[in-house]
Amino acid sequence: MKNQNHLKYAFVMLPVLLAACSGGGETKQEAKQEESAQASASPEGAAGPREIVVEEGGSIQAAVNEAKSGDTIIVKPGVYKQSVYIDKPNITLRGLRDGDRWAVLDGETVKNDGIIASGHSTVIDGFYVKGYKGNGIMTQGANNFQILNNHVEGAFYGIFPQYGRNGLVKGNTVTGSEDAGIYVGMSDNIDVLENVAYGNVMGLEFENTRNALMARNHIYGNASGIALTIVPGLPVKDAYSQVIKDNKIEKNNIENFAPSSSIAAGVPSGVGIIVVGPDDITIENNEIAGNDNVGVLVTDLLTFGLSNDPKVDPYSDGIKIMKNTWRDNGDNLSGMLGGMIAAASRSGVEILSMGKDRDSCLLAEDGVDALGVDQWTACDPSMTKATFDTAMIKDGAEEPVYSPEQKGRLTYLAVCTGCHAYDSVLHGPSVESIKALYADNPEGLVQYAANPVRKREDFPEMPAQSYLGDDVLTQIADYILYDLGE
Amino acid sequence: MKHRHDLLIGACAASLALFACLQPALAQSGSVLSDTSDVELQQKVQAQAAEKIKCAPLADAAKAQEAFASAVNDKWDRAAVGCAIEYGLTAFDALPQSDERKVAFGLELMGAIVSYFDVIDKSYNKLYESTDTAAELSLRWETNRANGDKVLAALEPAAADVVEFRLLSAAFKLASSQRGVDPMVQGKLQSEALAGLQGVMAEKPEALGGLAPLLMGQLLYALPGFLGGDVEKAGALFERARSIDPNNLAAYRGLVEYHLKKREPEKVAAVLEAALKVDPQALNAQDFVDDAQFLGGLAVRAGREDLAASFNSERAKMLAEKPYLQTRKKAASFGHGAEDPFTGKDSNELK
Repeated sequence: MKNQNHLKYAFVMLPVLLAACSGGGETKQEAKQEESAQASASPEGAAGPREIVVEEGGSIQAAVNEAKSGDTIIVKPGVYKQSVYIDKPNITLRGLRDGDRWAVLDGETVKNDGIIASGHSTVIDGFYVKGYKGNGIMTQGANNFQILNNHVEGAFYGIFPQYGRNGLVKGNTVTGSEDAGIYVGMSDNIDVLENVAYGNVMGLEFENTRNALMARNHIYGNASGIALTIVPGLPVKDAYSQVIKDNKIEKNNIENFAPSSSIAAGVPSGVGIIVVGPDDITIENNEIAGNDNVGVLVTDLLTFGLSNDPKVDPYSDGIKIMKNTWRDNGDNLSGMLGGMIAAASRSGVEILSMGKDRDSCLLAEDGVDALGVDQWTACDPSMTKATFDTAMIKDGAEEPVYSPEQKGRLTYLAVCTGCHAYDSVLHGPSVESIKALYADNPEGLVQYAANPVRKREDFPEMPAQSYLGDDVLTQIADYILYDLGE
Repeated sequence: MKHRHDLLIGACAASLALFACLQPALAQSGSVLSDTSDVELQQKVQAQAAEKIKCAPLADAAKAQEAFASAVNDKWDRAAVGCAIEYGLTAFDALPQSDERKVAFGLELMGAIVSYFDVIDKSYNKLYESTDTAAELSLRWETNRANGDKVLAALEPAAADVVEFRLLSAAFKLASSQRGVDPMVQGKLQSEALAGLQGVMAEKPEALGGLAPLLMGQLLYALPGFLGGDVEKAGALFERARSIDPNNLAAYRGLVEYHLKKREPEKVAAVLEAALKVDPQALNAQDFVDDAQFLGGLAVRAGREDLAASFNSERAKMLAEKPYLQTRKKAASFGHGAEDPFTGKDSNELK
């Protein structure tokens, strides 16, 4: 394991150091000289983009609130027991690092979300995020985002961009997520590059995502390494055009530790790459080694027991597997998946297909040991994605201004659903009971959410949501009281 | 037999459902969901669930039989159907072994028990279920499984040679093992069920409205080829099921899926158009609105918005006529929901 950790840092350290140095040593100097816990603008009164420095112990949210489009917020090393919400465009939030000292966001296993951004062109760079119960870093409805060089530990989803177009997730390390370490959901034109994922239920995941690239990542020691999925019941009903190349995917064999009530609990261990439903997938030039059950599993929603959305095509079609390096996969079968392979009197299987996919192919000269691929053809070498280096849009994506209603729905989805179910108890009381309690009283709901007090012994104390600001809280309250469930 | 046996084609399909049944060995502390795995909390919600599923006591077996008959088809109300089955069990137990009505009533009760798994399954949220509802549904599932085991054991001495008994035994194995059992046990039960269904197919495929070809079709469609699955045979079995019962929308669903997979758009359209001719009034109302939503969704997938609109129209009529029916609209959990946050529309609706 020591060697693997070393590899991990080999990927990550350089970008982190570069990031820490960008903006110059002057900023680091300031970190040592200033003791203020307040955000301050620098240089004072300057026109155009500014740097706003948050001293150790200061409020990052205050700096975000102060920032204008184009500003960079520099957060000095130290521990910040906060949640941060970026609701404006073109903000760069950068954590400084001084050796082992990071800008640490610590949710203390009480707060739900570390950093949430709904502003377009947000950059989140260089934070150590730990102890959050829901999302470590999330973007929701943000286009042209960048999530760079962060270390995210724990949380349900480590890094979770959702409903985004044109984004970059690069140079991060994610570990301990009870679902996916990096979870790109319902997004388009996303690059996931040079990240390290270990100790998660799933290392990296594309869910209901179109046009995306996963390259040069190191994914090891998860239950499953990479998951390419289409999840039923969501607004985006398809997933396609994904390229998985040049990754190192090894020894993803840990026991699945997802909570039993989550769909991630159904993910089998011992799998390098699992494909469940998306189409037009290229898996090329990866090193896939030491995954106990199988190197690549191509399956469908029927097999997963999730074929309950008729609008979703449940099959994984157009899978192209070419020029990968395979070693020691499928040699230690376990669980139901292992039982299925054993039932076919096989082991050492590099590729397993459940056989319902169409238009899939293997490069003949690869000589891969495969099962269930009778209907697959030989890939044409011209299908190669060797020169494909980005799925992002050259000129960036459009940046629509969301209406208050859209913001209410997006933020409710990102923040509130982490603890509240509509008609039953999750971690907090049901939304139905909240609607009844605050009927025609959105102001009361806003006030409570901003500064909650414990009302009921049988529920944990709600973390204050004041960081969202009154406007957003009002949008959420209006959505809950006048739209949701009506 | 009054209830429909199209229990397995939907969310609780006769797929392997193998991964969904895997139980994690441990939950890392930290997230909201892992908090809800806390033993003390689980005990508390399970105790609440036990209270919630209790049924009012009835005076005698005659009242119990009456209560069974009056609510057993109310599939929009899982509590009502659950109690109807409990009352049916009371009435069944009260019949002496020598009573010639015992086998017939036992088979009817068994049919209700098998169908109830589908009612429970459809009550789950699609992705994440809250703790209290999950506890209630899980308890209902286990109780239904225990009730089924009991009725089957009581019927076996007198009904082992009855083809409907063997068919319901197979259906029970398939349905009950969709949740809450070890995947290895599930696989074993599915193998046993498949053998039972093959026996029924050889002897009386039309039994219980063609349930055997329907279930066999679902199994063969879901299984991978290297474990005995056969999509072509499945398609033929769905066609057989439809020919036996032209009102069985579950058979139409299987057929549409089969032709979609084969990329046969004209056949897809033909089956959907035929399904639209089925008289909704001949079906259980809840089954109809569920099947119409599913078939309409398949029509969307096939690019036939016009047919989807027709299903939506028929479904809307039924919902307007019977507003107590479940619409299956689910709210979001854990950042996931059917509502499009940009438009506010439920993406699972047909319009």
